Amino acid sequence: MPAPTRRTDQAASRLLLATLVAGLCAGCVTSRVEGVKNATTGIEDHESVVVIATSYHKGNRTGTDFLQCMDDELDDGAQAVNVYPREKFLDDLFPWLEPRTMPQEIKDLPELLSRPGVSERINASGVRYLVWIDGSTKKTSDGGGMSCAASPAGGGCFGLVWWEDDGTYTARVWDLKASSAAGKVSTHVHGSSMVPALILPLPFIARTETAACKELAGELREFIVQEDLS
Amino acid sequence: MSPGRLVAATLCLLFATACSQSLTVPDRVPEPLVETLPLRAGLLYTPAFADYRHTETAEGKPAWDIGLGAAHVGLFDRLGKRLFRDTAHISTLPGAENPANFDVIIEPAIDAFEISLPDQSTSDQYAVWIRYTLRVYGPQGELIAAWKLSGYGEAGKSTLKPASSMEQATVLAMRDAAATISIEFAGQPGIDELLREKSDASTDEKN
Repeated sequence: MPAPTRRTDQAASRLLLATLVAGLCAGCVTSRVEGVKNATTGIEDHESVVVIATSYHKGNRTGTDFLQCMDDELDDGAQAVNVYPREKFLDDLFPWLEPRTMPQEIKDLPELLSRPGVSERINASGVRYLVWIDGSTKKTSDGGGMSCAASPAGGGCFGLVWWEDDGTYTARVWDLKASSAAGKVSTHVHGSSMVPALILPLPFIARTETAACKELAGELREFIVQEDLS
Repeated sequence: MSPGRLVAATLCLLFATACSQSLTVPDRVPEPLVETLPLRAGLLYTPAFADYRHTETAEGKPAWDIGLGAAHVGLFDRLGKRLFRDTAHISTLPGAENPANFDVIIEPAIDAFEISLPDQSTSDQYAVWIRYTLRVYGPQGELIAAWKLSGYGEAGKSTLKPASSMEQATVLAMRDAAATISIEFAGQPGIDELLREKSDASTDEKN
């Protein structure tokens, strides 16, 4: 029965080739970062930033993992800035920064700051920049298939699954000291992932959300630390 | 632990989303930063409120058992402490013959607790709605207001920790409701009149 064997060999070769070609692109992330600065910034040693997600009542789905990643990245590296603990800030100012009550636009900031006790607590915290994060990572397409089998003699998987993610995030920066909008930074990240399997599955997973966080935090650090408008 | 139980526990850990989930919601809502109202309040927690549990079972779905009572007692204690000049727990509603030494009696009730799981929606989110009625009585037990309000919270899916996502969504729903109460209580019909009367009486006393 030579013909079926050859067809099987050809199929396996094609899958291997497809895997290698796709592997070059899979697990890859491409990104774009943009920023708009409206005012000079800068931060003193005793000042800090706090990162808060915009309201889920308005449809925002930024996850807590992303916010934590932003905190860690901002507080890291050569241009590290002090990051104030988000939960403590929200608790200290409860109920004024809750999803239902938080200010939506910079014109709402004076009203927030005029509420009894709010300015005092913000001053005591040392928070100068309030960073509003809006965005999420979504799977945009997927496909392929994989089947696995096991027997007393052994087992394995055969096939290929792939998917693509898009992460789009915006960070709006409010300067609480100047009571103004300093500007915004946004990022768009595209990730391609695949898991080919020839007996053993080999995952090439794109860490789209992590890449978006690192890109956004890096740009945001520069935005805050570099005082000029450029 | 017997081998059978060990296997069952391991399978439960591996397929956590398919197993029953039980949790007690933590008392984590902070005291609100609002101005204190010139009212003395009695807090009346019925057993149905103080021991509230939500259980939900559906065929082919994991069962949920969520303890909410203790966290809500803590929440209303903290709200009351900040919102009112003075508070105390009371066990029964006063009447005309035995009026209470309070300006208002607050009796919160949970009318409904509703959940939405990621596989029931397109959003990959755990969502929680809590519907309340806040009954406000006068010192002789007369109903001043019955305020219906709700809180909504949502949290992202955590594959191996569904109880943790549900807990987070529930705490956010409680915060949402507490924010509404903190900010809007004074403006409720009946309460606003009471506060006006108090303010007028205080002005008269000063004059």
